[in-house]
Amino acid sequence: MSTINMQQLKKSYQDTEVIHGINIDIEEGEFIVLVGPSGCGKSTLLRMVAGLESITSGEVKIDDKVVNDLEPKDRGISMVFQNYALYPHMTVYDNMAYGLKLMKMPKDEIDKRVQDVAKLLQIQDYLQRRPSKLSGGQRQRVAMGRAIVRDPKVFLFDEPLSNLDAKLRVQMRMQIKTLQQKLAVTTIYVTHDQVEAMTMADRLVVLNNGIAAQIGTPMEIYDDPKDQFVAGFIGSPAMNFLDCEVCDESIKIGQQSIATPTHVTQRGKIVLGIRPEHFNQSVSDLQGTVQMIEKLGSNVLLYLKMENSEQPVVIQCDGQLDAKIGAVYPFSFNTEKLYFFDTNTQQRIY
Amino acid sequence: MIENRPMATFVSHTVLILGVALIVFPIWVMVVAASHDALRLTQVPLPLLPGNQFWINLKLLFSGKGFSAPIHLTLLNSLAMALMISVGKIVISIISAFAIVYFKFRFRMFFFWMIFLTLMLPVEVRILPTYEVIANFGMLDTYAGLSIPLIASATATFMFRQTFMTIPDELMEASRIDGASPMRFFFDVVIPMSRTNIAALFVILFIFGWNQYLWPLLVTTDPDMYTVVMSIKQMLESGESEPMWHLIMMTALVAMLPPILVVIFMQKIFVKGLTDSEK
Amino acid sequence: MHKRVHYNTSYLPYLLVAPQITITLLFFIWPAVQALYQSFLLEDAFGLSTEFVWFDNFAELYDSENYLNSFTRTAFFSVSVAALSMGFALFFAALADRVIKGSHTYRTLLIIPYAVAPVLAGTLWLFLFNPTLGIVPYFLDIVSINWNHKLNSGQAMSLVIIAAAWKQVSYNFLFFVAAMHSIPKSLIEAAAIDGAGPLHRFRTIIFPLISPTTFFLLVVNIIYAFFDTFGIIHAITSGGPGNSTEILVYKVFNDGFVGLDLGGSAAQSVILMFIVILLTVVQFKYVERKVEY
Repeated sequence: MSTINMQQLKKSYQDTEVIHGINIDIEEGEFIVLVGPSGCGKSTLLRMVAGLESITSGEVKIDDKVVNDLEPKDRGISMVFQNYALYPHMTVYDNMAYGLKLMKMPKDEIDKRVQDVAKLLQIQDYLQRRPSKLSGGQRQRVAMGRAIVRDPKVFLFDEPLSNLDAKLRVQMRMQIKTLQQKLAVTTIYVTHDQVEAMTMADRLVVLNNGIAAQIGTPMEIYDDPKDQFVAGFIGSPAMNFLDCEVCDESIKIGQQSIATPTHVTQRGKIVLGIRPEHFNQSVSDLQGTVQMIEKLGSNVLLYLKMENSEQPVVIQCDGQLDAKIGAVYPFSFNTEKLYFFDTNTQQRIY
Repeated sequence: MIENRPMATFVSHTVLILGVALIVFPIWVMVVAASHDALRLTQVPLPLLPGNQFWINLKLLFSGKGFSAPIHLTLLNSLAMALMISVGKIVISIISAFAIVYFKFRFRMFFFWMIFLTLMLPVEVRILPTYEVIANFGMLDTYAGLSIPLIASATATFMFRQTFMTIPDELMEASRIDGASPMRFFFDVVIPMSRTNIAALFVILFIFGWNQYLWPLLVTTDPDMYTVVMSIKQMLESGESEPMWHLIMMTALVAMLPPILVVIFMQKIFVKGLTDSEK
Repeated sequence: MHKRVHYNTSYLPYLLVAPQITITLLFFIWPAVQALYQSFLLEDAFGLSTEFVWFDNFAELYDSENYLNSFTRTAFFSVSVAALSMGFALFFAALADRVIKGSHTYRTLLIIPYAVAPVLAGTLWLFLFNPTLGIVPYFLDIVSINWNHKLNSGQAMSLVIIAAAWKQVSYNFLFFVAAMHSIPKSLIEAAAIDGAGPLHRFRTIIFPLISPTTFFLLVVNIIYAFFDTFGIIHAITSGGPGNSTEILVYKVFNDGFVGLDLGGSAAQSVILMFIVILLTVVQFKYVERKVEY
């Protein structure tokens, strides 16, 4: 069980800074997910912790010890790669044993460890196979096995599930989480999939353009996003954003309006955010034309166009809903669940 | 084949067989000549069917009577030269490609272009000065002199470079996390993953080395250092009389057998390596 | 050009490139520089004194009818070898592409010449065409052709071209087969559905699609004919009769090692070097489009 601290971490390639001073403190045994769109720097950050990417400035500490200049092998970490990076010419057994052999561990000790981990992951039956003879899910487990067998202080996962099909991904998600809880190893997990992030993380780090936009538990971030980016990125389907104008009495959205909540004191242009699941259908002070209907079975997503408003509004409705394209659909916001963002800074105001 | 035209297929086969026969004809005539005695080979027309002197001629050849260099020695020299050239080229090319692909260091590109330059300097173009260098180093009539000037190789370096580029970056990173040093990674991952390429290159380079002619002709004066390929020319020029064709053809047969066998038995790997390496 | 991820070790990469670089410097760059230097020198007949003569050696070559003839001869020889060998190979590759049964056997037999050393190839063809004994002159005599390449320079040239082309057929064949193999089957099938017969398909689809390979092979064949045919000529004609089969590479050897005209030979080497550089550039201009170096 180890702690990890990142202090003012920066990374530049030539003159371009891609990580702009990140601070994260990770507690023992915690499962941290770095999430963000592609190019946000999440993999780079992970690789800096691993020691695969040099650190331009700032510090990475594992167990309060600065590891900036340590080789990856000396940091007590294990990593699972997106493409698994299994040695194709070695058997599953040798893939798992390779690192231990390099540690000069005695043969019987290696064998014991490999067998134990293989049992844990239920891959004992194909220890003598080459990776090319395994299915995607099996390879994924072997990659996990290779990470576990080293008995590391820290697990690092770099989008380990993105090469699997949807069904398997959900299964493996749970397996990894359960395994991590069982082994209680501090974990940093990188993904671009916000569902994966929400379901697995103890705490989330939402990254945007090399900056940690917000750090918190999944529910904290869902309930209380700091800015428009985080609000839009976390939650599925994504939050609706509507440009509107706050007046004393009402907030104007196109030609329609709602009453101004008392805590909203700023006037003028503002961005209103509302999640698709936070609409009322019983009351109806607003309306829009149905543009598209997505039937998902358990529920239905309605894409509505409000008059004089650019952005469509997505509403999550009951699965039984029977709507027609072109019909006018009345709705209203759950006013408890409204978010307001500054038009320029995109920071959350209310 | 798209449509089923038995006639067209029949014609194709016939023409192919004729073409192959044309290509193999010189080889056939050689084998036939190697199986007749000297007398028969002075009578016109020469035979087109094998005689019964094959083993006698072979024995005669290996008895070594009347030749400047005994054939088993020239064969050994050829083998040594071919192996030194092929193994040497593979070794120095694979390590320099490894350095160029996997390391960041000063003058990396400079070295790369320097190696590239060797592509433009075939031995035929620089024979005289290269000969002088070898002579100055006292490497005439040595295996080193025969092989070392030929073992720098841009082609092999490029081919390995290309192979390495197809090895996923993550393998190198995984090996670093596993605690492998660069050289451990080289031996444990890079070499095993390049096996097919190494084998293909070996076939091509072994043939290249075995078939060297001009260079051994220049750097060897001691008959004990002659290679089997170059010994043929001496036999062709044997005095005023008509050459001893039965022995020449037997020598030619013995001299071309090793590379032919290598090509045929490693055909699949060779063909793939050849057509891939040049692309 | 290289990996995204790198090792950062200080001395190891230098150690790794050292053997290759050393050999390149000692046996490639240095001799090339020497050749360049010597091409500006004139040595007297006894090798006692040398004089720096600038471009005199080149000027002499330019004025030498002998050299210019060798130049045009080499060009003729190379183009003939390339045309003959590639034509033959293309024809048989197209046939082999058609048939399924036996194609492996055909290929096995057709690649044999690749493994035969040039000088041995020369010896085989010399034996076949031996004016007094050879099997081919015997048959040619029946149709009243008198074959003697030792006297007839046209026949000598034909013979070295045939021998050189024979050796290169394997290489060309393999590349043409590979190129045809990489044409998507669906394309050929689409054409067949459109009603194009085999010949028409070859002319309008296969041939245009393999044209990059054809061009690549053309360059490779010319380089081959320029530099790798020494053994063939040495065995068959030794450049004769007269100088009728003395191509450039052969002349460098002859003037340098037999005639001991060091300056002249070096100047010829330098010219050859420029030709190789030119051909290599052309070759890589083509390769560049397929591979990112």
